[in-house]
Amino acid sequence: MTILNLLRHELQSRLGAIVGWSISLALFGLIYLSFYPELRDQLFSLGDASLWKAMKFEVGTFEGFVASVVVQLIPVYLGIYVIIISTDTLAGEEGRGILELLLSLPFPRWQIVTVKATAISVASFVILVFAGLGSAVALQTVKATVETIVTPGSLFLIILSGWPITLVFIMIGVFLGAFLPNRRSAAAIMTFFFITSYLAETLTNYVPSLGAYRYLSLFYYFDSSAKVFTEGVKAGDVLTLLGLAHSSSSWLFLVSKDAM
Amino acid sequence: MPNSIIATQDLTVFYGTHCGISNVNLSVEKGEVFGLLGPNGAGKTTIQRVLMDVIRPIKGRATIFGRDCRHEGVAIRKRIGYLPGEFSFYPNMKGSSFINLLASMQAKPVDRTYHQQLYERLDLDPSRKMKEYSRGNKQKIGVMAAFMGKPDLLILDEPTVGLDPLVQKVVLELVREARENGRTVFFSSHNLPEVQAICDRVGIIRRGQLIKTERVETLTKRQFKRLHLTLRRLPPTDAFALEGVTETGRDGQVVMLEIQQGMDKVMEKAVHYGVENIEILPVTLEEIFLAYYDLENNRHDHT
Repeated sequence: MTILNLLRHELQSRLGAIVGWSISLALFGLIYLSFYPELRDQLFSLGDASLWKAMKFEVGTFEGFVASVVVQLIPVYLGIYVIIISTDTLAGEEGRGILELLLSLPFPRWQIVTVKATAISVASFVILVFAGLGSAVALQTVKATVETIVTPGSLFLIILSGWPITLVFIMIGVFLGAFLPNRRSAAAIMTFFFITSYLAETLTNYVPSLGAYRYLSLFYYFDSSAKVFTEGVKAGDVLTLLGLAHSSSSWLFLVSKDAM
Repeated sequence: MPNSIIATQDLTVFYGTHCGISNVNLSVEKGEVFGLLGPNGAGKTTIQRVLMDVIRPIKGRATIFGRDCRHEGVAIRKRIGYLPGEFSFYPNMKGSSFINLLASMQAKPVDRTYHQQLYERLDLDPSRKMKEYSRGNKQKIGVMAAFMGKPDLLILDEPTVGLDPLVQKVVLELVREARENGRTVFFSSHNLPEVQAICDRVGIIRRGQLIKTERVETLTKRQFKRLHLTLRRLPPTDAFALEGVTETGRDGQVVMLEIQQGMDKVMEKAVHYGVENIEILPVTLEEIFLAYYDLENNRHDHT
């Protein structure tokens, strides 16, 4: 008797999504970076446009382009998968009658919830690994035509640094799925929270009077500016996000012990 | 109730403002087959889901094997086989993979011989994907999952729904075998013949309230037939005033009777008035149950 069989099954059942999202996000980085040499002049002319800056797009330099397009957007796109799957895993499966069978197994609820949250976390990590590899390969191919301090290895690791923020969204999504009565409301709140968090970071960046509220956005703790290639990923940011993921998961376990 | 396998006290569940069940008190003894009978929405599934700790009551308590369903659920579920009323699983998973997954997570190893026998007896092809199964085949998978671990207690929510008559018979045989092996079965149904066929005791639930529980043979003794006689000539109003016979109404040439005994005497009387048609209408166990308790209540009122 082992709950690990359930974890293996959960991962197997997500294999199609993992492959699909991995290929898509790997191609995303691959295509955008591969075409950079052709886009360089046009992007350089847009470099000072305030709208781009407001949206946290720094396209005047290669480092800025990589950070803005690849590093920033891969976790945002991955967020779509995370919203769908994290809110579905408890609320959706409850609606479809899957969860009732799982709850009838001789395991504590928190273990079932842990298995499900772990499976999504592992899936998102694997997707990020492939996305990172795709971008690293693309960088290797264009490296000869651009002058940059970014190496394929550093780009790969910086893309992987998007995992802690993804983890927070996973835990919040699973929590909402456990706490709210149905999947639709969980997905709606999760989507609102995700978009608000993303836009709040760009808006507070642009509007000085809102600067004090920047810390409230999760994206504040995920550096997707060109500075990340020179200064590296801040350990404090990673720890903050992991702490938030841990707090969310603690709430999740509390809910799963009682209310779910 | 020290020998009770299942015991509930004042179990009450609300879905928002809607009352699911109210003050349900029942006990199920070791080795018996207990049937919970009632129409859809009466609260049968709610009781079973509380026992499985899938939902939690706002009032009252449920125990299985003397353990609290809410706080000792893991220990309880190690000894239970559960068939939910409506269930599903990952659509791309094969039936055999699903069964094997559940078998791998049972508290004790599954007897492979019995496992194979179940496939054969239920006439189940496990090689197909869950999304390809019909309602009946999914139900077979659920039945198999509930029985394969030979649990001490089976909680089955309408186990024969969606099954063809031959497989229904197999499921009832499995329930009987479980009882013969000293195991306990708690199942819900709205099917009178299957309850009569296999249950030792039955509880009738209506609008979330358990009206009362009774042994099936006691109820069956009280069973009556509902007869509609179409006669050529209308008989006098006391024509069928016989012991065990109640005239419940008339509609034109049709005389409506409820007969507990004395069918031969009714027929003798009827031929005097020229019988054009005889119609025997089905009577549900709930009606028998209610008629029985009306009778009991009237008797108590008189005494």
